[in-house]
Amino acid sequence: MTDRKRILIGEDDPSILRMTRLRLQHEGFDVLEACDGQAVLDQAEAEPVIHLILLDIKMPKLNGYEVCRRLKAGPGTARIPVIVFSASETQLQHLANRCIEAGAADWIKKPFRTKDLLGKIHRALGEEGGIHG
Amino acid sequence: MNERYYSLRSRLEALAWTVLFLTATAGGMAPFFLPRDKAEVVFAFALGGVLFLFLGMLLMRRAVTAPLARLAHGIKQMLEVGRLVKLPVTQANELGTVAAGFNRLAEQVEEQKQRLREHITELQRVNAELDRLANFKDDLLVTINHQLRTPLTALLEGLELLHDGAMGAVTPDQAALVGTMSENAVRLANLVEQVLDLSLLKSGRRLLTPQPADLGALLRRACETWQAAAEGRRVTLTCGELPAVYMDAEAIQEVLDHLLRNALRHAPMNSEVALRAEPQDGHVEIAVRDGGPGLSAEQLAKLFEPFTHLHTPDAPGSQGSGLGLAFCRQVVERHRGVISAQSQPQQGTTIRFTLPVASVRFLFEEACRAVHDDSEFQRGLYALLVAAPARPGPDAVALMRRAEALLKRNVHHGDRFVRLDDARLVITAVTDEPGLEAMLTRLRGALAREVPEVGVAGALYPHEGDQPDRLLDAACRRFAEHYAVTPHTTIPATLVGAGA
Repeated sequence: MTDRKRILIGEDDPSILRMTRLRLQHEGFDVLEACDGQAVLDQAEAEPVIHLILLDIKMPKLNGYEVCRRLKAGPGTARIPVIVFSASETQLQHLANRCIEAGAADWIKKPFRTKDLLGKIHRALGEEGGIHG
Repeated sequence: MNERYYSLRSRLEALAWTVLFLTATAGGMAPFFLPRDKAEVVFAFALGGVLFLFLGMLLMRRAVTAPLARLAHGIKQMLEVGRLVKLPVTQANELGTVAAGFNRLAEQVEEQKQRLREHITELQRVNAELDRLANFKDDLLVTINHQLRTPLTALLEGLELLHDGAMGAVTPDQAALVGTMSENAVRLANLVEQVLDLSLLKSGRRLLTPQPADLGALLRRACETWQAAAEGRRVTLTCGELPAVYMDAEAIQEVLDHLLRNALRHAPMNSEVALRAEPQDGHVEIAVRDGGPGLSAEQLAKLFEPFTHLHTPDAPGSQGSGLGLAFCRQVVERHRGVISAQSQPQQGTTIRFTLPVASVRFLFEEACRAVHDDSEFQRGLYALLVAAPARPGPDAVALMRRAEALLKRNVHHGDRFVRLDDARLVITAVTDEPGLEAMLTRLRGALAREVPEVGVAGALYPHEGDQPDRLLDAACRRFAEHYAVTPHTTIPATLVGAGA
């Protein structure tokens, strides 16, 4: 058992998924991947330890907001901090806001630079650790 | 022509009546003066004369008056109803000529109208096509740029990962190559961002939301930020007390960023980039001056056109996208401001722009414009509420007149309501609680008609000893309750008395 933090990425664009995974691995995180909403939920429930979930709003099967809502309603997953990826379209921004209302820790506008994402990840992990640790 | 005819006709008629009268009198009096047999003859003559004259007058009426009446009717129809009447041409005299002339004229008018209608239809078609093309171009630009951003970001990320050694150690040569690739990818990404910024603004997908705001604070922040990046140059700020201006602070900050970045790019080492702001008549002028190499008249002329590059041999590799100043012009003009540049070779460049002071008068005009530009205004009823003193003074009346001019609608001064029967717009001065109640009652009556939509805009008028903002709030709230509408433009109460 290592003390590496484990992050689940839910993203359907393969190049964003790959770049984010490589960057997070380079920064010392353990990374799990899912390419649709249902897969995110399945993995979040199946995996015993997940420290953070990155969630794209626009995903096949279940959209990010639906996933976020169900994660926050599930007893085993409610405490996992979620960061949402949103595009600049008003409709998606609106969904991102609803994610925050549903309990997501933060959101970031796509396309994002991983430097900016890392800042948000550290904040979300730190805050969550402080509250529940 | 007409006058002569009428005087002639009246003279003829007078003569006829005289003859008739005399003949009738002579005929009628004859039995008293003349022997019976002669009197009968004279009486018969007189009767014959009367009948003859009567027939003559009927004939004259048929020949002259009736065609003239038809002509008058035709002219009236043409002028008042816009309908063309063809006159019968029955006579070979001057009246016939007039009738034929009228017919010819009417045909010509009809032909011209038809041609005009065709031109209008064609213009409408071309206009619609141009609109469609312009929208298509904007959509295309925005879509392309959106689609470019994601792969570009992935490219940048990949290059950074390589550079950071995430994929294994890199040799110095490889690192140098990756560095050059990264620089170019960053340039491309910046260009895409700026094209996107400009096209979003131009296509109306990015809407500016100006509000009364503190320009001084924004200028101080910009000055501090850019001083930190000035590298051996000074960024100075000169501004006294500034009134609140009407601006979208985020967009104006982007404008300042563009101007200061540009100025620093051209400013020589140890020189000064001066930022100044001063209030003028109804607006604040902001100027950014650099001590750079300056611009030729040729460069100045197209400075604010898109893709204008300022070649600066002193600063290789730092040229911009050529879109920054075009973006600035769009933003400033959307604020109803003006942007301009002054420069001479070797004497630096100054760029000036203006922003409107958030005066009550300006804000009121903006509220009127917002109402006028709103598509709901075209469809439904709109109420523009103006919280005003109980007895509107000349200033309030001037505001109403201004509203009238802006909205091209009649405003009934002195009354609280404007032509409710055919109103699309109600401009109303809410003076007090009873005034508000009266207005709502009247509007309810108006709204019982077929009014599909109601919009509300609020504007405040400085008011002594009362609380117009509270009244306006109450009015907007009551509107919202009754008609399920939300106020479109409500001017903040803090501006009451800011100087109309």
